Amino acid sequence: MKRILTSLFILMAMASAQLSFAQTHVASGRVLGDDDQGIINAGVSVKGTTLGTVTDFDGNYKINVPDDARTLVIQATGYAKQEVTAAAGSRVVKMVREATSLRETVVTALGITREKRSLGYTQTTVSSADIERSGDQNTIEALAGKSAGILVTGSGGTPGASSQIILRGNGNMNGVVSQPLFVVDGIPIDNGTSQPVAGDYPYDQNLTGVNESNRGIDLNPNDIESVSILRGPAAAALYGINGGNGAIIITTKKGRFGKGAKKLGVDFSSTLEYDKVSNLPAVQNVFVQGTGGKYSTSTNQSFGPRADTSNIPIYDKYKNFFNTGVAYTNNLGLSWGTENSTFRIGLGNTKNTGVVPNSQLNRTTVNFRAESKLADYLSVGGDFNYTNTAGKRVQNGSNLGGIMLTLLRAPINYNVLDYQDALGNETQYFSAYDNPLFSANRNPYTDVTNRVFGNIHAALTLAKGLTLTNRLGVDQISTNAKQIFDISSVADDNNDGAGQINLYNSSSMSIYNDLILNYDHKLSKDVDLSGLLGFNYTYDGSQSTFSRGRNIQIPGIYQLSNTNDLYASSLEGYSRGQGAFGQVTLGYKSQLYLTATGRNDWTSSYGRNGQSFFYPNADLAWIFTDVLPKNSILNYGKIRAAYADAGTGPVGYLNHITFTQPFITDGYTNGVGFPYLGNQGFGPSNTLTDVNIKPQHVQSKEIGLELRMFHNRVTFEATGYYQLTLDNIIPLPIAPSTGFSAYYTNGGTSQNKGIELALSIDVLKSKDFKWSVYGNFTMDRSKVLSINPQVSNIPIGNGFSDIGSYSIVGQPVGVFYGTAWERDSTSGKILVDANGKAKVSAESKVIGNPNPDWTMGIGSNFSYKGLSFSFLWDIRHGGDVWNGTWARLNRLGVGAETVNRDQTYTIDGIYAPGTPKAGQINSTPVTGNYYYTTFQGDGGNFAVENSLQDGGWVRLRSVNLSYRFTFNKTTTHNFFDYLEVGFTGKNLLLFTDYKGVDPETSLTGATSAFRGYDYFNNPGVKSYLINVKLGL
Amino acid sequence: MKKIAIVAALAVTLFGCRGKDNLFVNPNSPVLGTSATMLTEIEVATINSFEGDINRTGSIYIQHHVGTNLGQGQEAQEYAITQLEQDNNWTQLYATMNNCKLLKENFGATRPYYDGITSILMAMNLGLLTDTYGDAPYSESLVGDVNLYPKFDPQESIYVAIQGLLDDAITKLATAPADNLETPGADMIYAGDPAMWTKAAYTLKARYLNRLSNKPGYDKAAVLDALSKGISSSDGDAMGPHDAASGQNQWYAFQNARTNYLVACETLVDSMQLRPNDLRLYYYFDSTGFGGVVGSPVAATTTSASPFGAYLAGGAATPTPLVTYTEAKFIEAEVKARMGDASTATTLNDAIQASAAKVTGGVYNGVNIATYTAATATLSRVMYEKWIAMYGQTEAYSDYRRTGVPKLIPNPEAALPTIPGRFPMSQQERTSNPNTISLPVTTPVWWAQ
Repeated sequence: MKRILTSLFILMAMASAQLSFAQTHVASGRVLGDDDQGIINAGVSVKGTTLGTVTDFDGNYKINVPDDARTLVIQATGYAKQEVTAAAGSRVVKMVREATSLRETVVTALGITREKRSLGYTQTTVSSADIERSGDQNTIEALAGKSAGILVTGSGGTPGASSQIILRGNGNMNGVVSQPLFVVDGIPIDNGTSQPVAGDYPYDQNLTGVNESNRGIDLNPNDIESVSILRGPAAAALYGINGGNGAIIITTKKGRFGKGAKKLGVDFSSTLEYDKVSNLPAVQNVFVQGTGGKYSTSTNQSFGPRADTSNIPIYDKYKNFFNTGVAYTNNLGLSWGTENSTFRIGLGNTKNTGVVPNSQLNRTTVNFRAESKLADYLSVGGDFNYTNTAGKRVQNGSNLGGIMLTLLRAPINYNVLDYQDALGNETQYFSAYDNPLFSANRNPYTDVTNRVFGNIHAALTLAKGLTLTNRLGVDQISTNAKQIFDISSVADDNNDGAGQINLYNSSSMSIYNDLILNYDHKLSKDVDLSGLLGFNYTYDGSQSTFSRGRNIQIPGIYQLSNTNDLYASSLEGYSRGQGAFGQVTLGYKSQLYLTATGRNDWTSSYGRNGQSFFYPNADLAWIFTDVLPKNSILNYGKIRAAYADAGTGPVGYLNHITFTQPFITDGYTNGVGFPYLGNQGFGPSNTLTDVNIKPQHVQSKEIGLELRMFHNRVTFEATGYYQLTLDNIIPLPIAPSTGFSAYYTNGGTSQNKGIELALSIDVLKSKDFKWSVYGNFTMDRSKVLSINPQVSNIPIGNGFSDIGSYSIVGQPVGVFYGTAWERDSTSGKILVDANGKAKVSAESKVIGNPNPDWTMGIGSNFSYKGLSFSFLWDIRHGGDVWNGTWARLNRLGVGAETVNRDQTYTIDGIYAPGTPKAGQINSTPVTGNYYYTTFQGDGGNFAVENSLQDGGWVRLRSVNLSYRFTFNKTTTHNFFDYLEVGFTGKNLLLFTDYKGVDPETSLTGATSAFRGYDYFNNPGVKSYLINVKLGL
Repeated sequence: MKKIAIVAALAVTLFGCRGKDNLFVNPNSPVLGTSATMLTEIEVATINSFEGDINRTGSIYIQHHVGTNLGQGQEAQEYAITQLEQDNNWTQLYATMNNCKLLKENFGATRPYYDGITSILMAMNLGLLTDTYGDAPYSESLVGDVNLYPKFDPQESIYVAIQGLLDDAITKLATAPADNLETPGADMIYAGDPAMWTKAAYTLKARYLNRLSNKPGYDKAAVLDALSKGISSSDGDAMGPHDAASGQNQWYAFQNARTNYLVACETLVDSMQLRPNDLRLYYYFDSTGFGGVVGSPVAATTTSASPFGAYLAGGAATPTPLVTYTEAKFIEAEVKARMGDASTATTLNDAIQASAAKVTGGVYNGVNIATYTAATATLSRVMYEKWIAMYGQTEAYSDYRRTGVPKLIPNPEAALPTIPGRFPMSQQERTSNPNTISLPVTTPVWWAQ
């Protein structure tokens, strides 16, 4: 109350002051930066008074000055303070960069702002403008191509499908990929991707189900001010046990502290987006359903007669099925700031209906952020986010109701639009599969997530250079999901068309608190000492309930009470962590910086005895240009080196053996489960655990070079790194004859080494023209160095029976391992039997690598006055994708290639030893049927290696064209500050050799380490966005 | 600042306290089951192993079924199943035996009936394991990280162990009810009846003694002795129960999930059609839509053939046969035929009639086909009839390998020239256990040599 009174008093005082200074004149002008562009939000104040204003978007100001005032003070971030005459009239003020203008600050671990020059590790900042240009509503996807050292892989084009991000390659040898921490305003929040799983479901739910969202989607990209990408443990060392995979540090927008007069800013943007389905597998349109050239509707094969000669009508299933997706996105930002207080409210809504009928995502976000300086020594602030994300998702992948599985396999004589009969039951082309349109319409998966996250923080200055900060954050998520398999759909668990309802409720709560004491002191003229000490407390708890009803009794009522076979399972998990950390930086003459960090973590996840783990880091930065003569070519140069060791997160409850209700199945049905005839059954878990298990961690060494040339017009950064992921927590496969099939233990080391390059050039930089180009390049090589003295080959999880992702000593992490052709050891050619058929090797082999050889982003921003044009090319070279879709479509006679089925083929191979013509070149032709169903398909004695394809691409990830009308609010009476109209295209061009959907695809979603699987994955999209923005 | 500290402290207290134990101990799973829940798991897993992939694959090998080119069945049809595909089967058999071992260790001493039933189920799993894969770890197995590399025991000694388990079971089941702290009320096969289990144990003894017919020391008298104490009518059959909920019949579930991956094989269908009115055919296979039962050829398979019928897969709750009176009578007929016993024909006719009544649920008595005489009831006819009668049970594949009856023509389009004599070794066992003995699938198991 006291505070408000004071403000009122000041306000009144100001008003009366203005009244008493009846004699005023108008001083106006334009404040320009060193690039001759107007500086927005520069402070303009009348010296010796409280009067002041800020410049508009173009740097214009206009201020009423008392006649007796002599001087105006102009201030802008990064520039030296300037005083100009307060005389009437208009003038141009050219600002000069401060000597310390290279002292760019960036956001680092724990949300701590540091000078970039002092960092001994690499860091990339992605601005809100960059995020906006992507046109993506998923922040992770929006980062694709924008930084070296990141690998972003979306799951598909259905609304809300998850995106995976990996920094510096995947080093995890277990089933969870090494995704970084996701931190918003200092608080790590959940960016996981999970599928509801029944307690009695025996397989990897990710292989089937729907495309879930990574929970980072709950953050509205429009609320983001900047994203700081901390790659590797050196940058994320302060996160200790959780810092091993690096961190994505997001800072949300806030109001600006205004100098003098208060300023209310209103920004509104509205976007209309059209999505079209992108690449689709090529299918033949000549032969109809049947086998052996005979028409039959009792088969899933399209080896029937020609449609034209048999007079059977045919349909274009792609054209009939896919829609144009539409998305409406509206964002409103209100910001307000005074000298001491600011706030911002961001409201956002996006509503996206997808290319697959009935798929949609609807997200509403509320973001509120306020900061206030209560006193010279105390500032407080808070950040509150509420998100409601509601999805309607469609079946994906290896799923008898899967959209692509059922659509692609459909023969051309089947009209997918005829999806139901008079009773509302589905009509099928083959009894085992749903009709894709029926599945889309009647097997909906709806989910609603309500989420609240945010923090309150305070900083207390205890003495000069000594600050105590506390930040308390909460992340609370609750999700309700419902899956309906309507009566007659065969996608239900029993594949019997009886109808099924699954309900899933989960909630999780995380509490995160950092208490940090910061110290900054100049020891002598040349030596700076800064440091911090801190304590962290983390608590996570989660509960979930899965309930299921089978056999829907009365059509149209989708409640458990309307079923007669009920099942439920529930899970909970809790963990607590505490960490004590410290960091010391010694700076010498602002050119040499040595930083050391240490953090000790205690976690409840490894038993009661409170095991503790220590994580160190040291890095060194030297701005060597400070000792070189000043020159106009190289104006800034830094070399740096860092060493760090950080954990990749605790895993709970591993240190004791448990009894479970086992999944009992041979892999071809959903098996049997408990209760069985009303009886519960328990058996020992098939996983034996190491009682001494400890967290895995990443040890990294990196060196780097940063150069700026020609007055900062060329910026270059190169980093080389070598990382070891140690003590991998792996389910070590053990001989099942021990009674157990896996042994959870720390075993194995994997290595990632790589190069990250970034270059940006301001080609043109004049008053009206600006043209910059930038690029980044990443090459990461992973390799499994060891697993266990006895084991050199472990699966990453349960996959398909013919192909899996493995960690194999000497191979990159996550290689494809599966059935392969038997080959001649010298020529490498396929061995064929006497019938000319390819032989399958008795043992599985390494058949592909999902990790790209290298990735590159190349972009350019061009502007002329209000006109802006930019684009970003995203290149991924290499990286195999298993095209299980292609193989199966060939086998079924659907694939485009199978149109030449009536020919014979001679496999390029050599007769196998033991055949009459052993060693000779194969000359025995095989039938087209064998060739497509087996050699190029997945039927009979096939080798899955036939369907590993290059998943590399060159894509125009985004292209933007916009025009901004700026209104001079100061001199005229315009209502608007600016009005901008723009166009954005996403993925408009895609060049790839991959024979299927857009190879940026993932069957298993963002969290899974099964990378590069395409088995009837939902397709990607290309998008056209029209955007209108205005500011008041 | 003070306020924040209070809020932080409050948060710590509120959330730090909740489920304090659950921070350290998994709240979702117990550390040991009870005898009842463990027996249930063992029974369910045993039923599943005898009904699942091993059975289906064997049924393709012996031409009861054909694996069509729709899916994974084609690999079995071409004798090209892989080691990787055996991991499920192999792991489940050992996991079940591990639970057997733990039940016996933790509850056996105070609950002899539980102990006996568990021993019988363990013997069945061990039998299926060795019959499918040959030599396998047993004496050093099931000890977790005490021995990560168990040695492979020869099949001959595993057969000794099977008899030992069954003998032990018979002893334990002979104890008084009062010696039992708890009786196995949750038993889904015989409702905990020790007499029924004892009979099943004797019939199993006969099964595994008779398996050694090619081996020196084969004891025909011991087989007949065991049979005399074994299952004496179809009412005493050990049947694996199912229900329409989580306990579905797996032939039925397979046909739903993998429609027409497996269909009737011409070899069996034609054999049964050679004589008029063997009505079992219409219970073995579903004739709907084909105007009769149609079998697919072994080569050039077709999906336009009959799927499983009411006997194996009538519905989700159709029970599955594990040890039956029919089997016992066929074993008796075989031993008698080997002995040249005058009553062979009578026993064989009884066996056929038992099968007919069992398969058709009493609709058909089989009298019109149970017409063997002393002259016609040869060993090969006994085995031929057993090949028909054991449709849908793993015994049929073992009998074929042991006797070579009937003379099947291997699939000419297969990857191998002969019908496999065993399954490939589990890939995981091979890659994780240096003691693994992995032989080609063309090598017969010991008792078939």
